[in-house]
Amino acid sequence: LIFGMTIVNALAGFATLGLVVGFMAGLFGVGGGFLLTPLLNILFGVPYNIAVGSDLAQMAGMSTSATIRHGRIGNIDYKLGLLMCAGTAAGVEVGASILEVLKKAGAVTLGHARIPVMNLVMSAIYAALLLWIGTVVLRESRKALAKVRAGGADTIEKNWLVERLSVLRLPPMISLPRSGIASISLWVILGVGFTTGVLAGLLGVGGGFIRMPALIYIIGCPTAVAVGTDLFEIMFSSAYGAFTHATRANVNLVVVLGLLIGSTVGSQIGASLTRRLGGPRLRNVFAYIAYVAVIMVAAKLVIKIAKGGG
Amino acid sequence: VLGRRPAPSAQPAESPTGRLARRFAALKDLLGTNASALEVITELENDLLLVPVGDPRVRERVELLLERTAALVDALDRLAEGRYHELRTVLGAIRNEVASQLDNAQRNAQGALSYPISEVGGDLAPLVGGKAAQLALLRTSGLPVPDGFVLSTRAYHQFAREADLYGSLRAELPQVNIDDLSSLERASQRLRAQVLTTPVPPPIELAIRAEVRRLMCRADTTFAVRSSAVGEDSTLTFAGQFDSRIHIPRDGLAEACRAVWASRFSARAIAYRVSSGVAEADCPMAVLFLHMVQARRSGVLYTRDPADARSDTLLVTASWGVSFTGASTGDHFRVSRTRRHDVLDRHVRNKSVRSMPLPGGGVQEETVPADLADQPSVADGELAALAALALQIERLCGAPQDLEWAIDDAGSIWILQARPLRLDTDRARSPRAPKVTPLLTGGVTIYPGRASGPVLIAESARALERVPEGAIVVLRHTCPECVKFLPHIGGLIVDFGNPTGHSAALVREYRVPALFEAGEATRVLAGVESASLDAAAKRLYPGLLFVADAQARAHKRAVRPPHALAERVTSLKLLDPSAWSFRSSSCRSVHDVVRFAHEKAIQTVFSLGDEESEGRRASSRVLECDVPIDLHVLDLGGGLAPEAETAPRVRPEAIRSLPFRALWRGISHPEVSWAGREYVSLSGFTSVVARAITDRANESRELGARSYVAVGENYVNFNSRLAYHYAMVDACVEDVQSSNFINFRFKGGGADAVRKNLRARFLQECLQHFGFSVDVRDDLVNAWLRRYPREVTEDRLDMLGRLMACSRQLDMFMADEASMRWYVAAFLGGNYRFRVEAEVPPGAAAGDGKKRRRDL
Repeated sequence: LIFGMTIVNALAGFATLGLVVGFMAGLFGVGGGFLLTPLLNILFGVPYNIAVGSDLAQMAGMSTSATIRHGRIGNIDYKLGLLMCAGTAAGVEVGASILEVLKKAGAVTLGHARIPVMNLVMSAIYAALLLWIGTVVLRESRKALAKVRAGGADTIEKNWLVERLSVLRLPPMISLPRSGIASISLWVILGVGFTTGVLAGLLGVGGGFIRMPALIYIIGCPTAVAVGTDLFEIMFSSAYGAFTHATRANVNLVVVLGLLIGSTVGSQIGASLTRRLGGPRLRNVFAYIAYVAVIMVAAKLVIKIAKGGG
Repeated sequence: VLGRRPAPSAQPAESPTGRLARRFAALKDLLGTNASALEVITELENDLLLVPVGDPRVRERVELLLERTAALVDALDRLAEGRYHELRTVLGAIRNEVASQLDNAQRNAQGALSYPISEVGGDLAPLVGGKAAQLALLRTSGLPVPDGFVLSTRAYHQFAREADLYGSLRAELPQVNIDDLSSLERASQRLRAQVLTTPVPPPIELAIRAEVRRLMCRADTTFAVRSSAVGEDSTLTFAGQFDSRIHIPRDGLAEACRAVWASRFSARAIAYRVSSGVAEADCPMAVLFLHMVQARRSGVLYTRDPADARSDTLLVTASWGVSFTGASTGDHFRVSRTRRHDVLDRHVRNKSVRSMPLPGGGVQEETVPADLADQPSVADGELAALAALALQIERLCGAPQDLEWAIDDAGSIWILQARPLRLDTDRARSPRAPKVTPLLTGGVTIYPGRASGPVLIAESARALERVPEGAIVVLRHTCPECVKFLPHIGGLIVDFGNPTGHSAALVREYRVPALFEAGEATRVLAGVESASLDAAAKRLYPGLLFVADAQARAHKRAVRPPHALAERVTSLKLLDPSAWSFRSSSCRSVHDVVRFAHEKAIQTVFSLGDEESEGRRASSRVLECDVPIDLHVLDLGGGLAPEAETAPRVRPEAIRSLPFRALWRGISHPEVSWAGREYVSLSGFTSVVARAITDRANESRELGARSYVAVGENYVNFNSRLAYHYAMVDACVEDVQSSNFINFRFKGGGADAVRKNLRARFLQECLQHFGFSVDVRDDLVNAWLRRYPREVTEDRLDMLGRLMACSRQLDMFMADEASMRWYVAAFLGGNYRFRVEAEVPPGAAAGDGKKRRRDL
């Protein structure tokens, strides 16, 4: 039995979830990871550590096959990529260790129920993350639908210098000849890698939604290099994440297999539909899905507390 | 290499380079035509705001635009080798529809210069204006309306052409900022002077004389000359915005008419029109001439109480004199709507002044004799008669009415104006009152609702220069100038103020919670910083208690639908090239066709490059350079140095193309950089991340896909997908000045729409500074420069190279207008790295306060 289901049922269940989430990921471009991990827990009772580990293993498979299929592994700035990998590895370790600490933290009594600390903390983190994503996306698409008021000298002059931060110039400064960057602080590169690493290790998300804009808008990579390096990074971080979680017994092969089957199919369907359905309204839908997921996370916890027991 | 040699056969097969060159020649045509089509569209958009659709100049421009669009579609056909052939059919269908619309408009533009009021039917409203049509309806229904005639909008258009008003309007209106009184005042003065110095054309003068003759009135009969603008009194009141001339003898009518026309361009009328979103062309002004009623008393009547529309009462304001302008104080009566029309409530005031006719024409204010001043100006019996008449009009018109009336020497009632009364029944009742002692109670509710904001006190609206958004304005008196700030304020309190006057009508139109006749509000509130108004409860509280709904109010103001012709010609619906609906069959207007053809041309050029480089044809090479852009070079013949023609990689120095060399000077300028960043913006970056979560799949060309530069001896086409945006330069440089041109196109970005659009405006400002013509639609920038000498054109290409480098990822910083302007100034000042030290803006002196980015 796997999480209380027969192996066939479990496989079918995970494949279906993979299909749905993969479909959405294909449709919206990104966003699978945010939904997959909490949904595994809510719908199938998969503990968060196993959900995160299996999700990463699944992602490693997906991204490798995607990269090979597109044949787009040229244009990598290896110096940048490897430095980022160092940051990412550290981040993944930190993330996975936090999860490990949570796993071993036992349970607290809430009402009449014993709730594992890991469950509580991870639910809160996911709820907060999804809430933030939903809100940001909704706000952005509202902005996209609204027009800029033309020619008003009346805009409030905010102190935009607060808005503008100098990129850290803490030594050691290095150069990235492949990207044409003369001088950049090593810490900026490590920082970007570390951030996405923690996201991967702790939450099981690829972090591409931060890495790609960071490569272009913060590090200032040329686009072609950014695209190649991003692919390289996602392969590395998910593979490394899967490995480190596997050593902590957080990967369940049945979950991985089910998700792989489902999401491969789902993302293809989603991607083929995205041009038909695109636009700001679709983004709203994504925001609402995020909200629904938040409600599900919260509801699950409340029901558990109300019901009592372990 | 083989392909470059002319084939020896009789039917010479085209060389690949030849085919490529031919298709780039088509692109060159297409971009040139695109620029000139956009020019015509902009002109036409301006025309349609000022000139009626039936005007010959509109037809001329539409025909020119159709011709250029046909050429554009033709060029696309050559470029894409027939792939978008169906676009011709689409354009043909639009052309037919536009032609029939123009014919209709031309037919409708016909009509007489003038109409007797008794011959005006309902269908003439677009010619005689709302006020005249309404009065004509009452008169033909047997109600007491003075006889008279109307000078139609056709007369107005004829006069406007004579005075070359359209030309001046086009010059003046773009300068006007309705928030800046002095700019408004300057434009208004010039326009009015122009109207007042242009003689009334003889045909119009003749028409006036003929109408007067037809009325067969006595020689000493005088007229009231008033505006009757199209659209006036229906959705918009224009209350008190235009002048009237009263008691005008027959030989002064033409001049009075001109004065009324001139009042169309008073500062407040312009402000009102602009803030209401009404185009100049949508409200041409007819002029109404009515027999002067020798009135002793006059006033206003509302068939419902706007402050409490559910109550069964009529509101009457009355005073002595021939015309009740609304500024003077008057008696107020509340009369029952039910039969017998009892007077429920009366306030008889001291009416110290009245306007009386002068013997030679015109009116004059004079002091009311002391014994009359405190007398009620109308008797109860007259009020009952007025009420009965008003309700009859209300039934006839099917809606509550705002009437102007007068009672003559013989005691008969005359109706001088009837317009629908604006009511809002939903907001009349206030929710729970706050538990705070009010600063002020009482007054008359003009428009119900609640508002909180800073308090601003002034003698009258004229004394107010800048009014903060959402302020509670407290005035001693009102005047129609208040229209300037009504759209922005939260609430209005007036010590005096006439509840049935023009200002009250404007307050209701702009839905501003307001109290009039508030007594001593200006004195009581002196020194109060902020207050909360509950207009329905007639209370003013200290402090900020209510959530402002000024924003909600602004959104409610309707945007008027564009004319059917604009719908088919200038309006642009195809905006998102990645959308499923971006197809030739979705083109609804000529502008759509232009946009579609242009977008498809760019995509085709990309695919041309992809074909060439993937097929490993001889014409595609990798550009080897220090600038980190991934560029592939396509040779169109003569663009490369002979020794480079066979190599798979070229250095920029080996490219001979003149425009390329100029562009490259800018791209490789030592001060600009194509990689790395010195600054970031947190909110801008958050915006990019938010877009990245959902938007990555929605681009028409993949992130990081190849960029191309096609070169000929005198030609360059730089077509690039850079980061999240996209830029194209297409240019020709020769010694012959007339063949030189630059076309520039820029679109997209990673941040939200507001920031992307602001970056587009940043580009616009910079490009305009260098003499480019620029067309910006949302985040799409189209700019062009034509027929400049070789040196200038090369210099501009150099500038474009720098501009493209500097504007990369700049959308991150475009939080508002102010930052956009700062970046424009920095670029123009040569501060290409946008360093703050180079030019410290005010308030940014604290260098130590500059935060450093640590967590990345």
